[in-house]
Amino acid sequence: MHSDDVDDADLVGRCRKGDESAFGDLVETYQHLVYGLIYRLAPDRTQAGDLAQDVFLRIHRGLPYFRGEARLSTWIYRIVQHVCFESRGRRRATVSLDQPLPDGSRRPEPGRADGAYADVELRDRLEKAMAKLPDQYRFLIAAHYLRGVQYEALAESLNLPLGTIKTHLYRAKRRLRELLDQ
Amino acid sequence: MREHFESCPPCAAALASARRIEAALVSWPQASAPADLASAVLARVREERWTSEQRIDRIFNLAIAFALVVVVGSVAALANLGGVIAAAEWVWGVGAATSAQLARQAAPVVATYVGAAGVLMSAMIMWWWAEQRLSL
Repeated sequence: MHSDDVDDADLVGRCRKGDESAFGDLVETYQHLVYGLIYRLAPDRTQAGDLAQDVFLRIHRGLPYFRGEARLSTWIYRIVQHVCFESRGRRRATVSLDQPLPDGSRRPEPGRADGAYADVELRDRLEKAMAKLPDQYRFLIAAHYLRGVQYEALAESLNLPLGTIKTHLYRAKRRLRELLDQ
Repeated sequence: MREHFESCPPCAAALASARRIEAALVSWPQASAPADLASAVLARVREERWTSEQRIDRIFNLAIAFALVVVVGSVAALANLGGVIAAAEWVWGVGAATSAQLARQAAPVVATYVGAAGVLMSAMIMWWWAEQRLSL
């Protein structure tokens, strides 16, 4: 058993006993992962904070029923995925040109001809193309390129074999390239 | 493979494009959670717990009120047992007569109601099944 799993099991055990500080630790541990993933998946990024809160509330409600058969992170990815897909169902994706970029920088003037502009422009197009991807493909790409998320955890959270995850990821990237070429 | 890319401009362009996309995805900025996320979550957890406790308190209070009514009613009934028995017989008689009349009136259309309920139930099960499939 991995040491993270031992820590998680201990954390879950303490949360189940009603230890609020343990749940606070759980939120502190996973908040950046959860928020980072939601930020990439949510149709409206201004809602990312609220959706992250929803995810942690669902975790809190579900902890008594979490049997520990899967890793805690895997279970959390699954909840993030459900919350984001539900939110996407309520509201279709809109990517505003006025919206700040994820790193907080402003979009550069289109007239500027430098390498940085090309990168930002590509990232901009990439995000719009991402918004058009099917939900599962978008989740796979967003999670795969988020620091700390492993193939195995994705496979477990999506209930798919590892090979299928790799195939889906390949197809997702191919679809993304097609969308970018349009 | 490398020779082919060097001699085939379309493939070289596709490779360059794929590499640029991969690089953009790898360098995709990681958004950090707001500083107050944990405290906001804990506040909502406390609020939810408080609401749930309020609900339990309300149910408990209702149960106590109901028990009190039953106890008071029982004591009053014991004080006038003959009257209670007569009232119970009257209620039973009226209930039985009404049920019999309703059963007679409903008998011809029972099959229709059962059929409609079956159709409605099938539709509900199909809807639930489709919801489950879509939410996966």
